[in-house]
Amino acid sequence: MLEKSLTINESFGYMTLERMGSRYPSRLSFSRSMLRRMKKEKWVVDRVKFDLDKDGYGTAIYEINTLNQIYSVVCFSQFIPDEERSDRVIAENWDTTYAMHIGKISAKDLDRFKKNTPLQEAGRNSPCELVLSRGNKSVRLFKKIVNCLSIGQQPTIEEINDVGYLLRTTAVYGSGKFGLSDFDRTRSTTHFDQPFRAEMLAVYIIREFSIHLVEHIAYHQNPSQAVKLNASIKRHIGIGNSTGLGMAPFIIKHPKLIHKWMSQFDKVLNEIIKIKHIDERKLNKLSSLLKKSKSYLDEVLTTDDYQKTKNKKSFYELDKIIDYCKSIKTSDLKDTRWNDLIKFSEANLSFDAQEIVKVQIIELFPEIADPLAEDMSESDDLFIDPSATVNELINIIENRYQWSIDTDFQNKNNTYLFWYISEEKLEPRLGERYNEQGAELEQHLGIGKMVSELYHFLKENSTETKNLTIAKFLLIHPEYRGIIRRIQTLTNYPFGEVSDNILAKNTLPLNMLRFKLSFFGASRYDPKSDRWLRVSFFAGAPFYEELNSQNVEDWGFATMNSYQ
Amino acid sequence: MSFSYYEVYTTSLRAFSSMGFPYGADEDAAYIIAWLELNKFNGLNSLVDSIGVLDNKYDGKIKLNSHNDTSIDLNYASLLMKGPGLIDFYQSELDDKKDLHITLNNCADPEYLLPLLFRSSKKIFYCNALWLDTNSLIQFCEVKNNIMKIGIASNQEPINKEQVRIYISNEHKFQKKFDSVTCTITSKTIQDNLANGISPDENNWKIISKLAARTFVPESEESRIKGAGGSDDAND
Repeated sequence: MLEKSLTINESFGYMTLERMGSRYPSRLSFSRSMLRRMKKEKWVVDRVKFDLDKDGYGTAIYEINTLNQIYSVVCFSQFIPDEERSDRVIAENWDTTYAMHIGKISAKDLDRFKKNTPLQEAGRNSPCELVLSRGNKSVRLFKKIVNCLSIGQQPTIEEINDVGYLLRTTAVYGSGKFGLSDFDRTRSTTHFDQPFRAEMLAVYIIREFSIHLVEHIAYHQNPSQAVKLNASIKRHIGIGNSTGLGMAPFIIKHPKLIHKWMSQFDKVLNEIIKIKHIDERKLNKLSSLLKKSKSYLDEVLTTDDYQKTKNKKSFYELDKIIDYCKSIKTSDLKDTRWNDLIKFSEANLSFDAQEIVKVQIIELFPEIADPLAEDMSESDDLFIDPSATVNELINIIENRYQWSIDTDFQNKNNTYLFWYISEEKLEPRLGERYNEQGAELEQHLGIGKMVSELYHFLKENSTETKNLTIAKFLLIHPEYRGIIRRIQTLTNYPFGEVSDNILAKNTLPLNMLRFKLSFFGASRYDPKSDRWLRVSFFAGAPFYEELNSQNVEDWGFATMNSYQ
Repeated sequence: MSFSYYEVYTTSLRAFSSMGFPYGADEDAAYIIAWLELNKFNGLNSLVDSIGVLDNKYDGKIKLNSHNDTSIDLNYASLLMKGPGLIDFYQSELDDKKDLHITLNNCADPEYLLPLLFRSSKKIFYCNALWLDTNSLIQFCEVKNNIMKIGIASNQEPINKEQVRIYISNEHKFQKKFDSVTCTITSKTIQDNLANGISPDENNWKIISKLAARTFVPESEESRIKGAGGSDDAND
């Protein structure tokens, strides 16, 4: 139903947890737009320091030269025993650690980084740093590739596909964390004016480093025979990432930003469906992209049964839309619109497959999508409308939060979960309210419950109260400031609110994680429980030295055949 | 040690939450403190001095004077609790008026008005406020177009101790004259301060961090097991 911009009520359907958990990366994703800008503005990457011993331990620095500013990524590699290697936030040692700095790194800076970066959360950063990160080796693939390269052989692409990366980041911090530059400053004074763009550049450089690291170790293991990775298989190596619950509170705490991301996606589709007829070349291209998506789904590996089922279902369902594309005769193209394909997929495919169809259609229209990908930022400010009346607020709630009003919060299953911050490294976690301690310290993330409580309180009040302005009501009931401010602000941000109760027992937090990761551009979703997963970034993307105007865009849904 | 605005705001937010400020009120109060700290008004120091009157004593309710709702007796309750609601209220009262003169009596912490007036300049065309400081000098601030000037203004109508007079207007009708402007806050000065980082007093930071830590759930084995990343294939 995309013949025009979605109405507010239609928008709600797009923000249910199930829909959010079905999303795929697109041209709007931050990894894509970052690489595009890098190519467009001809950023130059130089490895200015590579001081590693034969085992690959030491320091490397990469400089990214833009037209008027240099950024540096400093990389530290150290030995850690296998038993200390962990995806957990509470880990204290990592194979590699990184910081991204504004400017060149002086000897004094390097000394400071050496003392702080390997400590990660326990160290300090200055406002001149944009990103702090760390990553551990996939020991299985790392050892395999070192051994192959050192004897002059190449690993098979199947071996690479089994894991997908040499290093797996377990955190990529930015935006004011641990002393890093606040995003307001980053946005105003650096090239990273879009959300998570600096983080994406850092991750891309870490991927470069992972290749340099493995080749360096292989060379020192056997200098006379060692070879470098073949370009034909190297691109399949992405950079891993292990992600947990922190992404879910982010979505609730930044509703205007989330709206922005979704509304830009919606705008792209709405522009596309205005096109009066389908171009045959584009239709053929779409068929080929859908077939590539099928190959991706066939090849991507996960141990999670839920994800396996979703992938398998999408794999088979994509045949329906491919057949539908085939069925459109050349003579009918002038009477067919892209919306017909979208409507067909909405009527016949699961949410996952629908999303694949949409992102692949978007792939055909860079002139529409790419400018919008450069406008993904939004202020977090929420405002009270003090002159509105309580009655008007009630109307907004009834129009916008029916899902919340309809939820029975007396039923314990609907208040079963609580979101909290653990004192262990301040890790965001999810508890069971009736079985675990700490519910009194829950974060204000149960929006549905708060809205419901406010609504029922307002409805029970007198007509006199309902005629009060919000300003006067809040003088008497300041305890409702937060939820009223949110409801009023989001009146014009229909994608801003998750339209589901995230305190319910059956909540699958992974859905929120996948939503955010799709906008980052993550692929190869590999859930490890209902609340954390592993993914890859930049799998299939060209490395810096081979980046060109053709390959900067063709790496979505990369498969083992993509590089022939 | 340098901290980001995000860290000061987040730590203050948690501190207010731990002291019983409800959702929304905690955000406003954290904004006030972080803004003051960023703009070098020692917000965290003021907060530390206020803990005794705030901790588990939240009261954001405001009773209007039935005869004159532009005069409020704060009875020394902190503007961290009452300020945001007051500014919202007077902003709404301005809808059908050209301007408003407001008097706050028995106000213990007028400096907390600065961030609130600065923020309100997105909605209110012009506002100013004045009060007596501890040296009996008249502190004066005015805000227009997201630019705040703060200084001393002696040539004013008499003002009582612990009284604050606020003027808000939909048009810039008049301007009190500064004897001296001690500080101007603009988007540029804010950017400069963000670039330099925030360096709060170490002891104050420890105190606020300790308050913030009251919002964290103590660790337990059960909790740890459910956290992200716990699997036996970390080397894979």
